[in-house]
Amino acid sequence: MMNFSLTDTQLLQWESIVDFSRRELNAQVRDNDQQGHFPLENWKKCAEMGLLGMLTPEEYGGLGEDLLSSAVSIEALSYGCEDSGLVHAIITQLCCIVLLKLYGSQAQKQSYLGKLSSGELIAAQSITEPDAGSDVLSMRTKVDNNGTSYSLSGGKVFISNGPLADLIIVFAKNSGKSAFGGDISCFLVESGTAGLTVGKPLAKMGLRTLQNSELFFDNACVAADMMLGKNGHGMFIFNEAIEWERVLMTASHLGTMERVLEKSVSYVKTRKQFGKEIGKNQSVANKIGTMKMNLELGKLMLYKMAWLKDQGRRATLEASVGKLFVSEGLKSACLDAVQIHGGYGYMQECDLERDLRDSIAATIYSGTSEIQRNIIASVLGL
Amino acid sequence: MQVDTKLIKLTEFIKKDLARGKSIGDLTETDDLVEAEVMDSLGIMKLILFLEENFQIKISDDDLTLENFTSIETIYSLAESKMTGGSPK
Repeated sequence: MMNFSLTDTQLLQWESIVDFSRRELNAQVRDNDQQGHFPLENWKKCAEMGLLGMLTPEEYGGLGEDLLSSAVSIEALSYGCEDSGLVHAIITQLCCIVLLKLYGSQAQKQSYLGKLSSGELIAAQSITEPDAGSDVLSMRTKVDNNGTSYSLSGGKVFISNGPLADLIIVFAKNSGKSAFGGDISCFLVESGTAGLTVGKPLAKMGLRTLQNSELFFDNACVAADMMLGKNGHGMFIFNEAIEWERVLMTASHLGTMERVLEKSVSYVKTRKQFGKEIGKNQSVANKIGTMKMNLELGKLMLYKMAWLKDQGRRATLEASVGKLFVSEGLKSACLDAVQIHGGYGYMQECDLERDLRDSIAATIYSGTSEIQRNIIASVLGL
Repeated sequence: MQVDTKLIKLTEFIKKDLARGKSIGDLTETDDLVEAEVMDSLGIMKLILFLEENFQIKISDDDLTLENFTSIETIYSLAESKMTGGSPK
């Protein structure tokens, strides 16, 4: 028997996070977006609220929640908080925490999990390279084993939290030859490491409060005990990470979608033209209907994805289906919302144009929609 | 003679799905799949999903070694051992 209800705890958490987000996180969003400013003060408030420690085991100072509950919390955060860049930065932090939790040594967990969960440290994952996006095995950043330490050389691009990161999870190739799993390994690199250069924050179309940059490694020296997981297991770590990331990103897209839907419903019920509410026009009502359909179907998919991960199962196909459906649904909802609001929707003070700009990135990061379709088709044997 | 349908299915999956379109000649059960570049990152994930679904096993991090995934023969040996609770031959 299936139960589609959230627990009382999850519902309470939803309410308190929405209330917190609306009260504490929305004051400067438009200005911060225009200036590309990361709101560190809001980051700290989110940390105090426990949002960075949701997935951290209690023994390391976290809440030790399962992924389903955390996904509900991220949905609530994204519904209440209008700063999608901040939410993205929080999800990046959570993904790094998950990798440490799953693959970190006792010493690594002891050193970093508490500080990451309290927001004292900011983390980034660096995988993407100029010529290696979803095709991880073609990455060129390489690692040389010097006996007692490792040396990293190469470059990464578009790294979320890059300019702010105190700790960077870096994926690099051990050798040029063919090997099972691409012979990729994973390392924890602290900011300030000799040989690591962090580029300037990149100017973007949307998600402007999120800070992204290039990273350059010029024989950056990393101690042997800073390898995360087993030697050569980077690709498997990446595959696990991307499933968690797609669950959390999908949760945030659904929260935004719900906010945009409610704003649109409210507008079409009050805006009158030709003597009637514009929502009475079928062409407008149809857009609202589609938004609601995508929201409800997306939630079912999200909870299935999160549940699978909580069972310790793989969710390769489900994560791709969910991420594709919901990110495309969000982009379409934001575009329709701007259209429904007419001239007002096009103005910055309505905030929907920012949601639209932010939503476009959702169909690009964590694997483009085209890659998701390829993965789905490939799993089906095409 | 007993025909091992699981081995046949695994061989077909690797030849017809993972190796398809890669201009690789007819693979034997002992051919080195890594050298032949049969598996890209998605291919490896698909293979793991295939093994878990068809052999009703769970592939753990410890199983993900070159030795276990060198050839159709070693992959089958790993899956069989996971089913019976032994170690790969």
